[in-house]
Amino acid sequence: MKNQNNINLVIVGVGGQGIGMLSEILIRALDHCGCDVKGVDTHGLAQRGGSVVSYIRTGNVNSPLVSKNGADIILALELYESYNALIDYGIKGISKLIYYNTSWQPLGVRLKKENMLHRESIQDLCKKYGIEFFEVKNDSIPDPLMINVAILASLFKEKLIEELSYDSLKSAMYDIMNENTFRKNIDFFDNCI
Amino acid sequence: MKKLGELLLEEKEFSEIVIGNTALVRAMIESNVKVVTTYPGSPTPEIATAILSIEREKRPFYFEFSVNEKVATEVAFGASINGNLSCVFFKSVGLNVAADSLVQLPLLELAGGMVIILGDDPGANSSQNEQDNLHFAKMAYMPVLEPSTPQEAYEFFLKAASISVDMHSPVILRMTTHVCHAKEKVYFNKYVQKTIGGKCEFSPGKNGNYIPITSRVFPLKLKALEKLKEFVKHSEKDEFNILIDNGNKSKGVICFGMPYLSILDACKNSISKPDILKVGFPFPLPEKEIIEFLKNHDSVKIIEELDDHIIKDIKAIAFDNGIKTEIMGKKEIDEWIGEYTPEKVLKILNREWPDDFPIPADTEIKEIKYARPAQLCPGCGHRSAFYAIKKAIGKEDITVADIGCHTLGFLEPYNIGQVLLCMGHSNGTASGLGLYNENRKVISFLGDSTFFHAGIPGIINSIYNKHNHTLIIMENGTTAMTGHQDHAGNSMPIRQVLEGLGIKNIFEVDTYNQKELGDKLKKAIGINEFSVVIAKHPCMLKFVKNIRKKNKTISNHVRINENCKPHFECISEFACPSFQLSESGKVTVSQELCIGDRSCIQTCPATAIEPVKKGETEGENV
Repeated sequence: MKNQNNINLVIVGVGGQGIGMLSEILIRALDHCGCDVKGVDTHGLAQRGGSVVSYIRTGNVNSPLVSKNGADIILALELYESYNALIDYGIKGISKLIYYNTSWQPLGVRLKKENMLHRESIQDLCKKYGIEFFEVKNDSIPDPLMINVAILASLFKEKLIEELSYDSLKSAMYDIMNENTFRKNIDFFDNCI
Repeated sequence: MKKLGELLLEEKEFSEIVIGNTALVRAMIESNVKVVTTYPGSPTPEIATAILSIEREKRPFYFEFSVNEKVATEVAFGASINGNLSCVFFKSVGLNVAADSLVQLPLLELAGGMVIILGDDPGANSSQNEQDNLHFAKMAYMPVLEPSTPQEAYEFFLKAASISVDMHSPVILRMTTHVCHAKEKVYFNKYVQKTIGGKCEFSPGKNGNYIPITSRVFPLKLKALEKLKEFVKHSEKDEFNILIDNGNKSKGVICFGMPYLSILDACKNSISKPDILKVGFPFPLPEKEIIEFLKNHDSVKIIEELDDHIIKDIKAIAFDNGIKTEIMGKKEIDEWIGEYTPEKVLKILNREWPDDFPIPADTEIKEIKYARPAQLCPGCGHRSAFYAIKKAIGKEDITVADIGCHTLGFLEPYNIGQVLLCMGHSNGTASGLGLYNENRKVISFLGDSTFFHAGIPGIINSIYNKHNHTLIIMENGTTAMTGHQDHAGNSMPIRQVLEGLGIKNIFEVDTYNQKELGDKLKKAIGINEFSVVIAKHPCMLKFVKNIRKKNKTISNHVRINENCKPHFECISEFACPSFQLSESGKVTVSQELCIGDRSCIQTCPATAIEPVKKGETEGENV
């Protein structure tokens, strides 16, 4: 195995946002790059709009689960989940966060039992704990289900995982998508980078 | 695009990134399994997904979604006594349903062999409890192999199948949630199709007694116990046990399954590392290895997720063999609860050996997380139903939940469903709640797949014993919660079954028609005997997924017009997640979430929800 850097990556979002797909692309791409990689999705009742967490770990590690405060990189497809993930996995201060600026308000917020969350709160939390962050928002996104690709493009563009190559990502997508979906996603990916 | 169904039939050796559940299907194929049955339940339904990825005519075995886990077990049993290697798989609590038949299996000669894949769920990720099914295995004298990774799941299945065929005994392969769903590159052997078709060789004379009653049971039990001794010899084979020799004569750890990985991770940053013995069979244990390991260490910690089976067994082995090694089991009650993640295992090791396993100081966090409970999908027919039902029933009336997506009705803001046991309990429980009850109406719920699974006996009991409650069948045409598997209702309409049972009071309504549902429900609960309302609407998640598969986009969204007061009925009572609050506190419609179902329009007292007309933009919300 070429790379034995330990990278603990946590992907969060809401059931239905395509977290499983993003995780599958990354695991396959990292494998294509010669990394020793494993992962696991924890979805529970996620397809009904609950929180989804997916873990990816590279290098000489055993469990596929990332521990509390153990993330090196957090990819968040939604603001509230981003905030929660920072508290769960990022506070130790060496994490890097990429979040997409969209919000799917949880029930408590809609019922006005909890305060609305703004992107500034996430940025403030990152600054407080010394977490480097990157915001993604693409107004020309063809489909909200492609937020995962926008995040993936940002991860690649910002070079947060140095081993990750364009070709590896492209072939990972090719592995798991039919021709039409692949074309649509790779075109959008290319636009984003 | 790689095609999973073709990969699973690959003749050459290959490797692929798969989850544990998928790896098991390749193992079934290589083992020459002939019959596979299941009832869907997390964490195992992806096994069925992988099986169904193989075209039916190319599939080297028969596969079915049985009506419940007990029937699935019986079908696999029947196939095995006919000489075919079979496999049944289901979730943890599925074993309770299957138990009546399952506990008999070790008594009988399973001529073809049979592997039972159990998906236990430490952490209750998607179950009503986190029961430890080693209890059942021990009760029935049934051996258990437990892998810790997808690679091991594949290899252990191959071995379980081979042992089962040789011993004519059932073997349990116990998976846990994050072994089922763990994803890694798995290395597969080559595959040579050994035989085409199956056998029909049932021969009671040759294979022994298949009628275990009264004194005929004893020779069968004797044989099962003798086989269990044989299984100890299997469990002692090197191929099942891993010894990590860290050169520590003082401290050792014994474990099995996924917690092994957590222990390895915990040891990465430890001051000193204990030796580790990981066993493949938690039951029966490899006695020789255990004795040797105990003798070689001063103190041994047993790390066991959920209950304390091997802890007790190892202490008994030590006592019987006069071993004085200090053996430590669980220290605190929280060690019986939850998944043994790396964090949890570190905490347990820290309690035992604080100097060896220090825990980094926790960063103090004042921020509070946002709760995001599971919810019904946008457009879900159940939401429309719960909205109407809540308005139709009295505040003191009793609602009895059952298992399925509709269980989520217990959450805010519907609060419908106040008690839950298991699949199909609702009519029995409702009947009991109806006794000595003059004033409070009792309403039970049942999903359509659960109706066939375990719901029918409770319904028949309500008719036979003349109980007086109303059953609402939440029919969405699929087994939705576990990923849209087919069920018997698609070949025998529920209404016909109910009519066949002689039920007179049957009402049927599309849940999107909220007024009609409310009216019919009021009528049903007003009748002084058992009544049924079939509240139907197809699963909209399945509908949306099918649209997306065809590369079409969702249209027909709604928007909020200038009539909005706002009453917040759409948010606080109907509670479709598509309705969000704007910065100024007004209601908006998320175009990301709205699926254009329009079931919400009728809920607005100010008629402020309207469809976006063709050619108009959806973006502007008032």
